Amino acid sequence: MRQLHIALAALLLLWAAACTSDEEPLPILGEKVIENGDTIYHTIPDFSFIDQDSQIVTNETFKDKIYVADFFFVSCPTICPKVSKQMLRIYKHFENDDRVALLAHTIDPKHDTIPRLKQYAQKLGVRSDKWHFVTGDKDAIYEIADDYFSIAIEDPDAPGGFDHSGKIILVDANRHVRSFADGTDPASVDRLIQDMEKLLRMEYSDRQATAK
Amino acid sequence: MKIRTCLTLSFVSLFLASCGTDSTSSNTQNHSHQVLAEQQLWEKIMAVHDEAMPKMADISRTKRRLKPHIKRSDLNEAQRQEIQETIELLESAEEAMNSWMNGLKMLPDLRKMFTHEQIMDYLNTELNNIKTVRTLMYDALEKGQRLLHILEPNNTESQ
Repeated sequence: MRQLHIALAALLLLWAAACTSDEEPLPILGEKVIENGDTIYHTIPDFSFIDQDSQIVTNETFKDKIYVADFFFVSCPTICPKVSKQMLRIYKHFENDDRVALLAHTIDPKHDTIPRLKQYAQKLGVRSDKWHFVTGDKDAIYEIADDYFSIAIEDPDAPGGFDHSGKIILVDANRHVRSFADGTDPASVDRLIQDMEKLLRMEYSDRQATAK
Repeated sequence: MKIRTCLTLSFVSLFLASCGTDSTSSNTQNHSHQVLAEQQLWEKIMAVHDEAMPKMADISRTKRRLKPHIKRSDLNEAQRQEIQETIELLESAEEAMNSWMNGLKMLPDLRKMFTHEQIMDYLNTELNNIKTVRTLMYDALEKGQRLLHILEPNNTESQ
């Protein structure tokens, strides 16, 4: 009888392992180009902005991390407060996992000065090394927004203007866009959080989550 | 006599109490109507804002595409000047929207500071202001895209 139990447990373990290995990885979104037989995926280009602590934020800031990006402005009366609420949910969910970061770009750099961004972050009660609120050259911000949101162009339901669409984009450590959500819809953000967990589980399990 | 006085006083009290209830209820109803009217006007303003706001990305894109044309050697000074002026027009349209949003007072704050009539006046003014901003944005965008169409006749994106 005991041997039967052991055999059943072993079978269950094997089945679980098989299920895990069958898990589909998150796709790499955006345009793909085939060059000399290799698939070249869309990647987020180099950027350099300044955050609420006057620190320079570049792609290097997110080395070995996954991050979620959005576009907002402090005085936004409608969509941005809803999106910030959902970004805060993501922040809290992964607060103690330093493999995850958040990046919010202001699309109104003239009015959203560094002290104003600092005040905004403090009001949310978030750590500046985890959630960067960045400003910079307006054209550069809009240009990179076009890049992040090029994946959304493939989405027939995406509205025309990305800066007011409330989209939250998930980017991996290789600068590839892996998922996105409607930041005004909690259910869509639930799915994004699941995608983030899946990405961490499948591709970043060797880098253990460490709490700050 | 004592009983009659008591009865009279009771009737008077009841009458006054009922009048008081009517007046309170009427005040509450009036207040609800006012709150509703303010909310509806606020939503009208936001609808105009939400309709115009997505065009900010198009304005930025148009502006970024126009910029390299200023350096074209095959264009004359007047043409380059027109490009420069159109870029400035697009920038001022962007700034009009950003300034409007930064200056806008939120409804809960207005209610702490002003009477219903003052709030309605403020919101009506802002409705006109955001409509003006929308017109500025659409006009600038149309002018920018028309110019791009001339400068880049073979580019399907400017069609």
